[in-house]
Amino acid sequence: MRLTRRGLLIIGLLVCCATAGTLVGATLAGASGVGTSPVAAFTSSSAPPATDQTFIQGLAADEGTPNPGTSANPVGTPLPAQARDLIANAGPAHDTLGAFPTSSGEVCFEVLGAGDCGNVNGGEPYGAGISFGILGTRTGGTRLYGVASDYVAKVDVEIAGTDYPATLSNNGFYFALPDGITSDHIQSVVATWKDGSVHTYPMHS
Amino acid sequence: MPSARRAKGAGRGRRSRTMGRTLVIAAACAAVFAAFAVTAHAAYTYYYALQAYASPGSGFGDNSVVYRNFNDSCAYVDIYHTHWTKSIYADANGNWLVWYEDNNNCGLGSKAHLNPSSDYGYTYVQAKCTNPSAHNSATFQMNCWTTRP
Repeated sequence: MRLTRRGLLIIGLLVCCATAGTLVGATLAGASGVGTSPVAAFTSSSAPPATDQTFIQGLAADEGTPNPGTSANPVGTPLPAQARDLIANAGPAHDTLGAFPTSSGEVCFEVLGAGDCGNVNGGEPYGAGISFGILGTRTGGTRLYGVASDYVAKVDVEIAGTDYPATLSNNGFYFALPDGITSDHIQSVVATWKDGSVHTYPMHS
Repeated sequence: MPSARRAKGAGRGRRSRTMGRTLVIAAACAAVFAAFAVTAHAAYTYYYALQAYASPGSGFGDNSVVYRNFNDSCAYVDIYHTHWTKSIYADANGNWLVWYEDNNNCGLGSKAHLNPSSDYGYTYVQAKCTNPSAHNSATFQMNCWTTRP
C-alpha cells in the first residue's frame, strides 16, 4: 500500500504524541515519588532479600504508626516485604544493613533494627541524595550507615577536616567510627554524585 | 460370676474417677493458660508516650521505672522541618547502653527508632529521648510499646 503525504503526516504525529506522552508520564511519576525511589537495590539481584525479619518488621511497625495527634504517616506505608540486605558483615561488629521502600517513595534502613525512614531523591533538605543514622552500642562501637540514591558515586565522613570513605554497596553505605570518636566529632557527611557534583550534609545543625 | 461382675463394676468406677480428675486438671490448665495469655497480651501492648521540649543537648525520659521496652522511638514533633533526634536505652544508673540518632533529611520529621531492648542484649532499660542538635531547641515525642513490670 502506498502512503500518501497526509498518511505519513498522520503517522508522524501519532508517533510524536506517543513519545511526548511517555516522557511526560515518566517525568510525573518520578516527581510524585509515589512508590518509587531512586534506589536500584530494591529491584536488583545483587542485593538479596533481607535475612533478619525481626529487625525489619520492628522498624516497619514503628515507622508505619503515626504519632498521636497526627492523622497521616508522613513516610507513607512501609513495604517490608521488599526489604533487602544492602551490606552484610560490615565493620568490627559484623553488621548487616537492611532497607525497604515505602509507598510514598521514602526508604527505611536499619542495623540491628535501629533506623528510620528518609528521602534520597535529591530534592530533600541539603539535597545530598542520602539518608543516614548513627548507632552506638557498648559492645559494637559507633557506626554511621544509611541509604544513597542511584545518583551517588561515593560517600565520605568528615572528621576533624579529614574525609574518610564509607563502604558503598547496593545503595547502602556504612562507616565504623574509630575508637574514641563519637557522632559529636563528625563535621559532615559528603556525597559525591556520578556527575561530579559534591553535596555536603552538615551534622547536628 | 460375682467376683468378675464386681471387678467389672470396680473398673468402671475407677475409669470414671480417672476421667473426672483428668477433666478437672484439663480445665485448670486451660484457665491458667488463658490467664497468662491475657496478661501477656495486655502487658505486651502497653503504650507509653511522653512529649517534651528540649534544648540542644538536653533530653527527657522515664528514669524512675525500668521497662522491658519494645519498639521505642524518639520522634521530632514538627513534621514540616528537619531536626536531629536521638533514642537511648540506659541502665538503672542512667549509663547509656544503646543509642541511635539521625536527621532523616525528610522535611517530614525524624523518628529515631530502636528495636526491643532484648534485641541488643538488655532486658530492662530506661528509655530516653534527646535533642542532639547543636543549635536548635525542639519538641519531641517519645513512644514506647513496652511491658511494665
